Amino acid sequence: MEVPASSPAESEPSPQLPDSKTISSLAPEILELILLHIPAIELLTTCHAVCKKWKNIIETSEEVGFYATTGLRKSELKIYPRGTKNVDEIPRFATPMALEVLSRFWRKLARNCIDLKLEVGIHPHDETRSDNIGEYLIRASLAMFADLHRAIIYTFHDAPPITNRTHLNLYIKGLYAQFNSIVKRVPLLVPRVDAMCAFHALSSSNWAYIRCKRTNGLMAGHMEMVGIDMPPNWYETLYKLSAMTFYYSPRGVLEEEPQKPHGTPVCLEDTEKAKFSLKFHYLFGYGGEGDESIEFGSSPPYVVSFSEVSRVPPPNDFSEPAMMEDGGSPQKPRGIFAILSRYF
Amino acid sequence: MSTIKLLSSDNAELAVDKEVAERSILIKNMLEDVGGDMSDQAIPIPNVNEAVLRKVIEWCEHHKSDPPPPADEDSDSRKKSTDIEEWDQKFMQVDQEMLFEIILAANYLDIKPLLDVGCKTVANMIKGKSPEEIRKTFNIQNDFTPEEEDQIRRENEWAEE
Repeated sequence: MEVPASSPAESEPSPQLPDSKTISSLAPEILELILLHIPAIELLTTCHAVCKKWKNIIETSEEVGFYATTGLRKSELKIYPRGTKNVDEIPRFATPMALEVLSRFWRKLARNCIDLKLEVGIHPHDETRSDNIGEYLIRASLAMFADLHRAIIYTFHDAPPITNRTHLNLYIKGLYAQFNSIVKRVPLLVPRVDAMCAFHALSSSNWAYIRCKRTNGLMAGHMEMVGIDMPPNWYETLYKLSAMTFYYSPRGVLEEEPQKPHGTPVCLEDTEKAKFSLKFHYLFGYGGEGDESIEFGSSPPYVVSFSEVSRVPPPNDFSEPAMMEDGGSPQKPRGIFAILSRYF
Repeated sequence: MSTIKLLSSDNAELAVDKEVAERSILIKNMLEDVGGDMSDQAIPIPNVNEAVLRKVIEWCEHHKSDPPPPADEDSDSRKKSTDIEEWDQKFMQVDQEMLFEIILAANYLDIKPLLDVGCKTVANMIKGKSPEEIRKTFNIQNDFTPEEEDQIRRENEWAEE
């Protein structure tokens, strides 16, 4: 798009005529309206780097700041009230931006690991000890990008040369440096993963939600039995997760349809155009046994409706939603990151 | 159909169908407040000059029979930035100064759908560009120091492929 020749604002930045209209002369409220139409990830990256005024709006405006760091527009967010029944049926949503950051991390790591013929897992150390593996996985994945050095373990096929190991260590350190600042800025929206909240969001991001469902519960204590030895199906799951995020997250702005990865089941429905679910069955020492499914949904805009949830009338006033109770500012790490900050 | 008159900031008097002018919530409310016939008296629009006002009226003419926007913003009909209908896209092919004038006028006159189209048009000019390209497009001065720029570049590395 070219600056029209007639515009007085064309050449060197010079004092503007008082009534000449340029983007710089717009009131911040109008610039905000414009920025809300831009994919959130561009606000965080390119738009953030344009000038101080833009940077300031993106960092401090409540609406734009929230959108940039979560991928969700406040006006498009609905919070279901506490007291909603059947917690297990309620999907838990990570913010599109947190998932986008995570998927980019996975993709970078996975690409490198493929080169090195490595398999990546997550250290099962988890002080919060959830009784829900899906939740655990989400936390663990996020812990991983919050604290990469400690959380990642890797297993080597065929004892690769030590140089590979060194290379990977260096690579992970480099990744950590890259992601260090962004993970502090991007909150996971749900303040507690078990919060009785469901988000009905329209979003321009991919990987808009994670839903976990447990069909047969485990007591929290049983997780201790896991110890360091992660059950094989966890590895399998994580392997799939990394492969999935690697293949599935489109490059750039996430406005396009995700590509179907090879051999991955993709379920197409009217309301959720692409979704990927993993189901696994696990067994632990005390006869604890259960099924768990994790589902990643994408392809915006999407509508998720759950009969259990929708029977509860939404509150009339969304202005002070319950989810903001753990702190409302996108600048501070909160939600899952607040929990995770206990790790380090 | 009744006609009303609008008076631009540069004192041009424009006659418009009442129905068309009422796309502007500001004018609509004004007419309701007055409660009667305004056909003999021009409504001053002090913030908008003739050229821009004509352009805005052109838009309102074209969109006069659009259904009113849903009161509830909750609807899924919120469109993505790339979705601008063809007529509006053509309408918005103006120089930047006019584009921003239209946005300001739509904001002042409270014509939400026009404001939305204007903002989307600008957003589409920003999307997919590098910071330098954005600055060039809109003649924005880079007011970061080299050190600050370097820091921002490092902070954005995670998003690079």
